[in-house]
Amino acid sequence: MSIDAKVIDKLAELSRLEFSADAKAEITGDLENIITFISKLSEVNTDGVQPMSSVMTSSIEGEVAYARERNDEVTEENNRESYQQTAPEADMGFYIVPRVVE
Amino acid sequence: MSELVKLGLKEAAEKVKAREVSSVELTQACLDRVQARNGDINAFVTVCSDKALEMAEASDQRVKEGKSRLIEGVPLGIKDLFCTEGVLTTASSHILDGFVPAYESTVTANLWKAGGVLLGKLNHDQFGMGTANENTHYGPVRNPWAMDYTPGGSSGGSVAAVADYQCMATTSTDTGGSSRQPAFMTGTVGIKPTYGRCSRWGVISYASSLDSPSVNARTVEDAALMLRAMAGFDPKDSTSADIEMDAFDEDLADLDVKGLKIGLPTEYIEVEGLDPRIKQTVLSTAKRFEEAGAEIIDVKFPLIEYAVPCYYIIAPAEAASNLARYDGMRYGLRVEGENLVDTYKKTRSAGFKLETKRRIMIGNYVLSSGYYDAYYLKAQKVRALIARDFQNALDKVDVILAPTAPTPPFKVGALTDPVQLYLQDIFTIPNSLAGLPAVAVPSGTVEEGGTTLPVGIQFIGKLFKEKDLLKVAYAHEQMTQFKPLELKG
Repeated sequence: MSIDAKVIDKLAELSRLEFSADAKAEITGDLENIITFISKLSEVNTDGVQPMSSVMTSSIEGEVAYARERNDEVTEENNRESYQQTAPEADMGFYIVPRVVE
Repeated sequence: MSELVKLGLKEAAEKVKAREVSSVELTQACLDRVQARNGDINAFVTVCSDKALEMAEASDQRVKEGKSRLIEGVPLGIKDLFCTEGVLTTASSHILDGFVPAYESTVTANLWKAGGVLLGKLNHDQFGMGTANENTHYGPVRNPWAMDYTPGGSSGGSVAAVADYQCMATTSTDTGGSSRQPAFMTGTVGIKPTYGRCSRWGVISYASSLDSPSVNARTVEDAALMLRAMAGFDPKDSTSADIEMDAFDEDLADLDVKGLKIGLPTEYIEVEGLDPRIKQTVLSTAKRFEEAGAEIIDVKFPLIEYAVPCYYIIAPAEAASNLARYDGMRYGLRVEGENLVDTYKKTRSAGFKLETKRRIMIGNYVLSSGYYDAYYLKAQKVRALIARDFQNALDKVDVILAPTAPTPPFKVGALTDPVQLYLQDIFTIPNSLAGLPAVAVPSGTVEEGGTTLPVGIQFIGKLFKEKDLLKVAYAHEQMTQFKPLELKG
């Protein structure tokens, strides 16, 4: 399957990644091969099959269902200070980010 | 080199509890071993010398006070995907530079509560993405059996550290085979428990519907004991299972092989590209069990060739979402750009390695509008069919016997084509998609250009029946009498 430069640019934008011209050529080739490979799935007949999004909630007959609900309660403590210690830049309880408003 | 490093997890804990050896002596022996070997093997990305000795002293104190715990005083290696409070945690990536978590993962917290000692953090393919431990910011890990060979991935450090006697047991993670394929490559044991058996809380996420905190050790018994110390229900993880847990390491010899039903999937051993020596390893295992009275039953997996493509839709889709959090604002690396979006791009482009970028791009491709139904939804349906095939098979048999990897261990840098690397996981991915537990066990060795390399098999079991599975693995271990790598260096 061939992928045009527009698709790669769009994916890079969605992924918040950037590539040099050489790297772009390389990843385009890789993605073409990978997408051809995963496209094999179209051969499988899945008519009437319910999608399985989780092992725990799958509707396989007779299987152990172990998904559970929890009470809607706040259990987290306020750890702002300790969490912000790992930030590249934080001050007075705020994360400092590049200017977004001119 | 101190002979203490040769002790297994169970034996070492028993000796500490009986005060035949102190945890400090044991920990120092492992630290010395790591120091002597890490330059070559590169299994550890962080060595916690001071903290380890501190924890060892506390352990010795508990023993003195008669308060010994399950794995008292034994030094353990932790894959660097598990958050450890106050200890650098990188996911083997550049993007988490300097990230020191303010919290402890539930699995590691359980290990410390059981008396374990944190020796250090282990190298791996970043975020768990890889099969040769080359997708890491910290350089490839080497296979202790032969230094120009890879120990596999993603948990290369986890297996190399135990194979090379640098510690007694390690944590790993297994999303599509990351504890089992490396175990196969290094003649060690790898257990991927049932999805939900070990908490994912505090484990850096790759593909959340598949990620399973796992175990590596040199013997089945040690791996079972390690699993017992790690596992358990955790209310903090909504996918953690509140299901009763066995003492996995006890009564492992209590199995009547006579009457045991072992499924042998024809489609697995007829897969194109399966090395004949690996096929032979599987068939010899079946024969040994048959001679001991087990019944070998043919089971069907017509969709095996679709399991890897299915996984490489679901896992990247989840990964693209999970890795969106690395934005250079809240933790780790930040590379300043001209504006906010440019900073995101520069940070992420510098922080992720190529394979990680490929998976993010694929994930966003299969999730994007126009492709969602054809790829992501389709993969979820195929996943359901694969899970159904396992259920049908496991209705008829107690365990399934299968190859772990298609070829004997390969050299560092030998596989560069992504699809070729993905196919390394052809035998480990299917049961991961179904959430089922599996254990990889060594069987013997092969010669490759004058180099002796280990090979093995895996057993796949029923949901939450790890104990039954481990008994079969233990029986296999007794039958083969596999000799681990000798202590060298």
